[in-house]
Amino acid sequence: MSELLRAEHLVKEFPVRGGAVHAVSDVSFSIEKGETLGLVGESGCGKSTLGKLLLDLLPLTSGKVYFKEQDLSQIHGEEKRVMRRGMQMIFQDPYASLDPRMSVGQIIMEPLNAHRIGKNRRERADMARELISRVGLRPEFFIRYPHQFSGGQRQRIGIARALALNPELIICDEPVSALDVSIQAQILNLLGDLQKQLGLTYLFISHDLNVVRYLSDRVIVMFLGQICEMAGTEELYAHPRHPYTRFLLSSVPQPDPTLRNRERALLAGEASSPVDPPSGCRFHPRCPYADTVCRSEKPALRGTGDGHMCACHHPLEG
Amino acid sequence: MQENTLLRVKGLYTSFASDGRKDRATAVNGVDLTIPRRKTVGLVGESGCGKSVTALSIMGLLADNGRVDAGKALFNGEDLLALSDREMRKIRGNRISMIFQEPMTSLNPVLTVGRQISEALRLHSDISSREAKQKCIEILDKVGIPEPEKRFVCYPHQLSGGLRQRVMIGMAMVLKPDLLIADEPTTALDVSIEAQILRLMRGLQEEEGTSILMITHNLGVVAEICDEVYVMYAGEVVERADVFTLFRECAHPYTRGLMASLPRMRAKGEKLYNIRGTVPNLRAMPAGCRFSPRCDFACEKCRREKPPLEDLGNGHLCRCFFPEKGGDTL
Amino acid sequence: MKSKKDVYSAEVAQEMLEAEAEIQTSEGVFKSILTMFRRNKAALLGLIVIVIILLMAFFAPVVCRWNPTEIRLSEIKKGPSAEHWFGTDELGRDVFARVVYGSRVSLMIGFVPSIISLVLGTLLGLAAGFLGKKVDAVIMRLADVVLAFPSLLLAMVVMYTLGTSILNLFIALSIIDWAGTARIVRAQTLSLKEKEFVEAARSMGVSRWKIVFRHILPNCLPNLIVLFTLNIPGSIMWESSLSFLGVGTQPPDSSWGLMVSQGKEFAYMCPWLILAPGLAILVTVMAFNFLGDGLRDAIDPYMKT
Repeated sequence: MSELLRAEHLVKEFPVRGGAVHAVSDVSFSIEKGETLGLVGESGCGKSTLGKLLLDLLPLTSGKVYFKEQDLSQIHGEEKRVMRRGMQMIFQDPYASLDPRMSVGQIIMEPLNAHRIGKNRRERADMARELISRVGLRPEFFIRYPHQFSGGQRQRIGIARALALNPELIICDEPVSALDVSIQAQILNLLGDLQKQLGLTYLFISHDLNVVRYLSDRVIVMFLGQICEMAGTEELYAHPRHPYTRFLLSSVPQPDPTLRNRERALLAGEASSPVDPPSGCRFHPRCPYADTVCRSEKPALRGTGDGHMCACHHPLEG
Repeated sequence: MQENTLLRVKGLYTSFASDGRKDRATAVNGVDLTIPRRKTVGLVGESGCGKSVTALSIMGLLADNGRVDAGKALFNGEDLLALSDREMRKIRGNRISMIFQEPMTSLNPVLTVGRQISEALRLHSDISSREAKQKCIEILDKVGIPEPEKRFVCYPHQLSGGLRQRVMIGMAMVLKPDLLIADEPTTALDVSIEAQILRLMRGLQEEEGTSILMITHNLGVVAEICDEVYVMYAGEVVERADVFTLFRECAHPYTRGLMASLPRMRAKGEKLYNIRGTVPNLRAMPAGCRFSPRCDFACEKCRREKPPLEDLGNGHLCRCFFPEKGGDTL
Repeated sequence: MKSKKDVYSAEVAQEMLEAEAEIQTSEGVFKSILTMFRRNKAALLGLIVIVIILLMAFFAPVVCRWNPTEIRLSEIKKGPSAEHWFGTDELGRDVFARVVYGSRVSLMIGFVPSIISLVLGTLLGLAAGFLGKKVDAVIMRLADVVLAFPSLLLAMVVMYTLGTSILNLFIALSIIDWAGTARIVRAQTLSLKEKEFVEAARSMGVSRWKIVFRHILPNCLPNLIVLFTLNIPGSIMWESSLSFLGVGTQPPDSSWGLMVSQGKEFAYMCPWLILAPGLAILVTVMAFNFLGDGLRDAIDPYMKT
């Protein structure tokens, strides 16, 4: 496999009164071509911000993004636009992500128009119709408006739009969290099918650990703007090394009542704020294993074998 | 049996009017529900299935365009639906209380947390403000809020989502109600906080003996906290069972479909089961079984006749002509 | 793109046929305006009255039996009769004819400044909302000044400085109205700018201008229509006030406001001289207000989604 995207030391700080929100602090990782990389964490951990940074929807405070070995900060104008076609996004809220005043056809043709793909309008309309059927909707829906569709159908329209430019990488920002369980399954299956058919690469951002487990090849766990653990999916779920990962995994309500009295990891204290993140390991105020080293020194993301990376001074035994 | 039942809803029908239309949309279509004392009953279904409307009907909190058309809700033998607004207000917050998905919208942003809880307290019991404050701090402590004296004077926006939901629970529990109705109380929260809130609710129930009606779409939450479960689809109860039976051998194709569409059971690359189509429109319900257009097993009979809610044994009820025990083999 | 055969996996095809057949029925904005007219009788009445007034202004020579400027000294200050529906004035001119012809001026003064301020306010509002903090600060401070100044006084100052003419009246009234429009458009632009669909357009590499004109402006449009219908009666009222104070329309042009002003000397003896144009102002303003309110009710719930 070859590397499709590489992020190096990404930092994003939002200035606020009396300081800054440290939304993303020194995050590095790479995405291999054809894989699904899951990105999990709780609200405020910076996972959505990270997705937007990769797509240049937010300016980086510092750090570099390489897409197909090309440093995106070094190219500009038309060159950048062409490069950027290769990365698209699927948004969380299927109600807010489609312009209510545009028909389905117009929505899907918008990226085609913007990049002048296809010979003429007619050809672009044909392409849009094909995309509509590719995501499991009827081509006749071309002339309808978003409000005539259910949440699941809208999300399909959003997926069709993301596919319009033939991207290699799709960043999915919580694409199913606003949907009902049964609809969620439809969309997840569609994403799986499309990946098989088109050889897509996904960065799948979600707070739902069960969904991420189902879909991802590798998983990154984020906490307060930093990566705390990164490993192959099965490895991570079976042998979490970071105390936070273990805690998170044991917190997920499992749809099996016989597990309800299972042992659960507990956390101390109150959630910390990204405005004034704790010194050393950002997890230390809540960590049951924290000691003086954790309070003063930031742990590096270190390999523990099998591509399993963990940022902890005292990683748990597998 | 009788003295074990706290709330019994019988044949509840609720409908809504919408602007400029003469026909009303029936959101709840003949729901029967029993909540035993000291138990947690789950009401599960997808959005638009009528689970929240059922709760709001019981509480008398329907929006202006909503109306209970028929039915009874016997609470300790007294029909809540027949009570006047005034009588109902005495029961609400006192004997039955409710918590919602988004605590911020149900807390008054211009009053301190302490003020809101003690007001609820003094409204329903005759105590001095000093006693109220004392009790208030006690309850804040009990729902796991650190430094309750400090939080007493906080405004809702100064608290995190998890703390706000704890305050809501504290407010709901301060009068030791017989029944707590929780409408998606953890949906807006992160998993780690969700787990804490669920643990808190379970703890309070064990201590106070409160019954809980847990409304949720999340089968994980159901498995964690409920004793009995009602599954609703398109305004009707389609299945009822105790939680272990339900997760081991649910019988209705809809419930089975829901279970099978959960990603956790599947390996990567294996397809998730999906219930095809979408929830039917309230004004255009299919004839016969309401699930029949989306059901893989539907036959002529299902499309023609409405199946009754039948007992499969041990109180496991299922609204299907062809119930099949044995869960997620879909 | 792959061939169509690949596109239709069996499952997708099946879903297309069954699952997605059901479309949720809900109304589009224009359909909801139609339903609004069916339900909101006041708005419908407003629309009908406006259409009648416009037709009368347009076909004034057909509607009126008398020439509005024809002086007939034998018919001075006659009360309403079958001959002269609204009576005659101090020079024996037919008041009905003068009201009908006066509507041309009053309506023009209603529409033209509203259109100018709509275009100006929209462009400035979009610029303020989209072009960053500095542009925003300049435009909004300017709007604040206009809004903080008493409007009538501002208009009078403009009229005194520039001189009284119908063109200057347009300028004065446009200066009053643009600020409100700009503020509303700016607020909407700022909120629309953060919407996910705008973010989606950016992520696909759609240019800034296209985002403004394809996403932001169309989504402001329904509100602008409402604002426009509410600005028209506003302008008519301002014109009336200015004419009454002597700095608005000047003879030989005639507007409703000027008629009230001229009739005030004889108000006691000949009340029809001010009642007729006064009524015309009242009916027109109310008709536009009913229509504007109705449109707002129809558009508001739609805009929330």
